[in-house]
Amino acid sequence: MKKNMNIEWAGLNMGRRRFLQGAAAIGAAAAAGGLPKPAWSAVGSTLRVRAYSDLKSLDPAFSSGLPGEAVQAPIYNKLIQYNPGSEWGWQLDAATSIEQVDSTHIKFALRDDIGFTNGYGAMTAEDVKYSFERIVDPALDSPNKPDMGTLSHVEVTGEREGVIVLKEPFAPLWSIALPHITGNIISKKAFQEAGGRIATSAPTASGPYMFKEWQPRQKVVLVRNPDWKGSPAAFDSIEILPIDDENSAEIAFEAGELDFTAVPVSSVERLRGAAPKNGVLKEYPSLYYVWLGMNLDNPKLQNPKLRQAIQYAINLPMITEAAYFGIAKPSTGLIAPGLVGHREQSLIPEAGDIEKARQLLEESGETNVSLTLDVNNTTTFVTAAQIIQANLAEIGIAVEVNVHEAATFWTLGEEASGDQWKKLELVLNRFSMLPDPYYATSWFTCAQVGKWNWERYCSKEFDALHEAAAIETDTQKRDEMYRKAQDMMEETGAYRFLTHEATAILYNNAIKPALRPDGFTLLRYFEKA
Amino acid sequence: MKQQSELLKSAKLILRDPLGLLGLVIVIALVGSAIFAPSLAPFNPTAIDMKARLSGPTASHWLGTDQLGRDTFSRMILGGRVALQVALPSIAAALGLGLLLGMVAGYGPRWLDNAIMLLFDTLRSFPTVMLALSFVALVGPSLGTVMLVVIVTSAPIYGRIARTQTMTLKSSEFITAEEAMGARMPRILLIHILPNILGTLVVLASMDIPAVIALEAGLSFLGMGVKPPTPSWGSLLKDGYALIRSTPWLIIAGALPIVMTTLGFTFLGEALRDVADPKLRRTR
Repeated sequence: MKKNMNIEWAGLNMGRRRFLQGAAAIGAAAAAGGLPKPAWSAVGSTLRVRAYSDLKSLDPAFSSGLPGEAVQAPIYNKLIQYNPGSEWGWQLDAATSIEQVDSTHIKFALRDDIGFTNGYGAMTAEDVKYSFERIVDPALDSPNKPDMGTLSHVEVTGEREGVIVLKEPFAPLWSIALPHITGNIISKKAFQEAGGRIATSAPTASGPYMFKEWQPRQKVVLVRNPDWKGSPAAFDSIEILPIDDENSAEIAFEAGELDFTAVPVSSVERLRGAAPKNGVLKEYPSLYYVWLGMNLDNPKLQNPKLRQAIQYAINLPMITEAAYFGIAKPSTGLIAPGLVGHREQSLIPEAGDIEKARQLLEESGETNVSLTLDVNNTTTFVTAAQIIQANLAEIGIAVEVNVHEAATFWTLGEEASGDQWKKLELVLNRFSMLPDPYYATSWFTCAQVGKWNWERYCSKEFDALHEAAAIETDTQKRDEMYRKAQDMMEETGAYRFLTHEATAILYNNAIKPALRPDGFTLLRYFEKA
Repeated sequence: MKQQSELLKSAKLILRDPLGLLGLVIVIALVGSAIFAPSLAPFNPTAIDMKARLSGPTASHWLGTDQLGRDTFSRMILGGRVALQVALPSIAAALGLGLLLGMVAGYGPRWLDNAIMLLFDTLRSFPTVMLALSFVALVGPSLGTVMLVVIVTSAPIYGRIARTQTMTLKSSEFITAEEAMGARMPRILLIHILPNILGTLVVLASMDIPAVIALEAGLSFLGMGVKPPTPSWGSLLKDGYALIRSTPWLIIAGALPIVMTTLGFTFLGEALRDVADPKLRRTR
């Protein structure tokens, strides 16, 4: 008996010949580009973005790094948020008004339409007080305490009004404390019920999205907050996938698994010519700073002329060309262009000066110099290290490159991890940065020696300048102070600033990403194109 | 004379086996290129040439150049030397150590046997890669570290086999006769037992060489092997992986020799095994 070849679906009775004809017509139309594109080629109404590491905490007092903030920013509100766009700035969020009354008092009023989910009520000034004061509470020992700077307390003057009181003026309040991780406002009631701190599950949310679940090493899922009264969230859900390798993330994008990702700088040139289907490539200047540091406490690096010889021998354009494929530019210091304190020029020429380096080495009286250079195990840093190795070989300094996996690398200069800091000679380092120079200079003070200050540079004058610049409210004066601070660092001979790197992102043209000027995602403002 | 004819016979058997012959050719080519690497490499493998960076295969750069403008073909050739520098001495040392301990365990008193077996079991309980990474974390990456890991993890394998074979031979009549004539343990082990078990272990060792090369490449891929700018197949793979989309020849230059080496030593090892085991040869 011959089987019935008709295809029946939803009452449609279609013969095999007709089905094939129809399929052929659809195929031809698709090949000719005649069919409308689906609104959501990859995602439906779920936005999938890549994070470079997995979630560690949903508590603003204990999360660190950009991946933590990427998850928290859509679910918590702040008084102010960074502006999406190409200029650093902020906009109101939970605050209807915020005003610097004097150098140590900031008055704010909250919107009356923001509430916490799961029955935790409206957001009040008490929540703001609790959120900010717990960060600086010594009992909580929050690692993010420095971000809050000189915060003394928050005075509650009404249900939705209050005054932030500082011990001393603190200029980074507007660029770090309020619009970044520590500025996230949490529910006092919910956190107190949870014992004062939370880990990787949020009991409540107040932003356009709510935390749904965290699948370790798989994804974090946020869903639309039905109680949100602000501008509607554009997506039903956001999935944040931890993919540490940018090459893998790029492949995931091409496979339609991601709608937004950073891509390796090595891919930029190729993607400029041929971005994946529906993909848009954008390049952003980064705030990161990469430098070659020298351990000032190492007996081999006591001679200042030797350190200067090393500084002058290093050719930055070679490094940015080879390790960053020409996408990143040489830097002049810790502070990137566009920020207060950025130097137009460093004391050492970009390309160095080999003749001067040789002369300095000769003046130093050092002969047969051999040094080690410790680097984190990434192709970019190992490539940069080999350029430095070749540069120093030109003046007769032998360099042995020691490659370390990340966990080991980040303990090399830490006194708490043993005595290995004593053996540290040259080290290629990279720190992340926020849009205020305070965040950069704070790692190079005497208090940071043996913690993050691996060069072990300790100058009372530098420390005083760092502290004075943090409380200086005159932008022009601050600018001069931070430029001087970088001059002082460079004059020690212990630093050769290399680059601020660059961020390249790839996104689906069906979305309209919202990003900070450095390319960091502001997920709550992402929209459909 | 008899020994010479046996050797000739074995060589003929290998040459008659097509895969064995192919393996032999690959191994000779590999060893030859490693020995004569400095002469064969057309460029200095560590010389940076920024103007030539990431060039595709050309008449002068047969396998293109890497991100530092270094000639990939030259780095591949010199990488082979590093691979063999790690694999041959460390396998030889592991074989020697394993043989010695295995024979002593198999022939010596029970308490010594137990002690050596406990040591072998302890060493084998660590996964090789994890042990390698731990060593590297403790003493830093270097060729010596990789070799030490290979010796520590491979010696127990050879030792166990040597012990089993020694125990079998220990009860043989010719050993009993030697003992009756007053021969001491060193003489019995070196003159009578060693020649009878060496063949099997050499075949096994030859088949382990690709695994050691892969381990070295793996550690170098992870940045835990040889130090930059020394070329190694693993570091070629690592650089190639980072640039796989735009410059695929880099990863080919790293992967191809590892594949060829694995095939070469495996084919040769199988041919040697067939020669050493006539029963197996007949069943094929």
